[in-house]
Amino acid sequence: MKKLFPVLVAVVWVTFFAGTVFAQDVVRLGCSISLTGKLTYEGKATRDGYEFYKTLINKKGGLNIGGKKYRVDIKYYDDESNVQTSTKLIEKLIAEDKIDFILGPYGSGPSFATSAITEKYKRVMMLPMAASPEVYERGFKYMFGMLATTDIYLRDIFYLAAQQTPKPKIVAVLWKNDLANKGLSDPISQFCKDNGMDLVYNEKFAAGASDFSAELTVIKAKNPDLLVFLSQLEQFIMGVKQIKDMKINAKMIINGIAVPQPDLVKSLGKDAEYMVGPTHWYRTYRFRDDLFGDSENYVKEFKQMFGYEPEYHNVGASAGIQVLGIALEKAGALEVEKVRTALATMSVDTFWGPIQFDEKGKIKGRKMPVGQILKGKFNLVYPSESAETKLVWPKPAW
Amino acid sequence: MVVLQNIVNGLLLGGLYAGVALGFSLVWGVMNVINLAHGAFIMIGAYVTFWIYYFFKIDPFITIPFSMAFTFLLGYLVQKYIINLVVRAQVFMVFILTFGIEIFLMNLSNLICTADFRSVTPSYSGAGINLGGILVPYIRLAICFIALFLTYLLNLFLNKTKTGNAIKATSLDKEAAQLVGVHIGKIYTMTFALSAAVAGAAGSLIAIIVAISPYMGGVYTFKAALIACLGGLGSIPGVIAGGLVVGMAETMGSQFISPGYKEFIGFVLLVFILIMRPEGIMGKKFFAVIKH
Repeated sequence: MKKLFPVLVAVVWVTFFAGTVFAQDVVRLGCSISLTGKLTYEGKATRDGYEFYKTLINKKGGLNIGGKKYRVDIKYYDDESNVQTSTKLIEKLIAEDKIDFILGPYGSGPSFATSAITEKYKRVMMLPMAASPEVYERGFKYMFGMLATTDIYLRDIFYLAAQQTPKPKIVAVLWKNDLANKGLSDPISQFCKDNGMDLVYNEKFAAGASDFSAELTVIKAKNPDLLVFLSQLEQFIMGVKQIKDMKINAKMIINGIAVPQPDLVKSLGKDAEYMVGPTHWYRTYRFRDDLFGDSENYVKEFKQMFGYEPEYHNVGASAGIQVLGIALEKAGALEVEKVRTALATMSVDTFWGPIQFDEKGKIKGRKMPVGQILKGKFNLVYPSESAETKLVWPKPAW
Repeated sequence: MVVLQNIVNGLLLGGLYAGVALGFSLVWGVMNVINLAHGAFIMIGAYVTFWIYYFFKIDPFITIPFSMAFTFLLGYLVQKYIINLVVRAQVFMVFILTFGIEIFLMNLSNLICTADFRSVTPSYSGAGINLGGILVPYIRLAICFIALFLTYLLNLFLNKTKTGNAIKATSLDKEAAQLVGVHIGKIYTMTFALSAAVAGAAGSLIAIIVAISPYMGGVYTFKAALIACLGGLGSIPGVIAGGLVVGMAETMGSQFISPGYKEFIGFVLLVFILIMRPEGIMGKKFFAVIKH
């Protein structure tokens, strides 16, 4: 017993000091995201993007805010892909959990709704997965987004198509009735005018629809050169199957969101060949930073950690939380107003590209390169300086 | 031409819808149970087909007996050990219970299969018959045919077998059936299991044409409820009628009104028909009305 007592004291002493040395300060970020429900796949992809950043930054010792090191911690709530639930959970994060810095959910709809809550409470909201222009038209000051908006998503595709021979004339559009896809379809009539094409069909379908045979039958009769089917992955998979059933031999089949996603090829196999779509990011981008390296490196390390190849949903989320981290360091304090100002005046280069926000919170200077699925892979076909291969035009008949 | 093609599309879709609604209508008609987990059984059937196709490359149509067997067993267990506990309580209790079962099954699926979208795309996808310009895809045709065939088989079972007759007797008058020696508990379990099996088969068929995910079921439960009410609860021929009516309404509505209001049209039709004929297209006014 006599020998044991000093040992016990020593253990307690060491633990106490070790505790104070290792008890790091924590900067808490909050997030309400679709971990179950219809948007689970996209929500999980966004969360993995956040987690990837968190792991890397904490490995480096955390964020350096005002001379102190802060570990990053993220509190997640599952909004079950329900927008109303999402807004309630954001209020919970702010009011009960006292979290001042919020990471956005997947999707323009939930982003639109939840940013209204963060604006009301004057908390910083980073929206890496919101692309609808309406999100940015409310004069909000505390909200910042990482994506180009849907009004330019398809612009370069129409331009690219117009350069091809034979030149396309007839365009048919079928779009899913939600905020993002409405945003994608709205500017198409202008793109058609700009490129000398006729928009002969422009109809929406209900968000829960799974049968498009009637619409596609009408579209087929119009013999479109460009068939634009606007939806997320789930309905595009069904759409392509039914387009093939109806044997619609358009010269190009376009989707605004799902084409870069690996699951499209996994689900459709050969039927996914030749689909064209824009992407926010590509692995051949040459931008670099000290955390992720360049995009090629991001892909390598992400795949090692999560076991699957990332696409822009993961990458955009990582880029968003990284920018928030940079703003926290720049602000030098965990104060909302300082961080907000840091974001509003930011001008840095990250692996996502140059980061600057306009007065609406929209990121400046984003472009939407175009890719086509060829031999089971999404290949960049435009612009020519980043292109991996040439566009295959026209799409071979089914 | 477009109209003709859309008529064909509507009929093909109607056949599939009949398959989707079949089990739901049976359970509601016989047991007075509104099975909100119906969509979950469809989802499970779809996954069984997907995984068999994925691992063993067996043609999806051949996997149907396997998915039916699996969902039959699952439905049997769910009814016998869970729903049976509250089946004598108010309708609302069972309603809530099946809702809970649906949430459980969906989230269990999410845990096991993850929410990645998957689809079964066999080599003959997109191939079809060309009847003078009218396209009839093989897969859609087969789905319609199989769904209607299952409906026919179920009808045969209900009318020509002892168990089937016992199920009909139970739906007509529970007490009277008991008086003539029908074991209600066993009948309920059999009915629910059959309903789950048919839902599983519908799921297998659907897996070939849609993107499957753990949360796909809700939409089909809704559709099944619409078609079952429209056609007449518990009436098998009514399910076919309801399915065809909704299938045609959606395709014709999409062409002549607007694709955006397609789903809405089905429900407007339901309201209209229920006003004109509350028991549904082929439902019976009273349980005592028996066809001779």
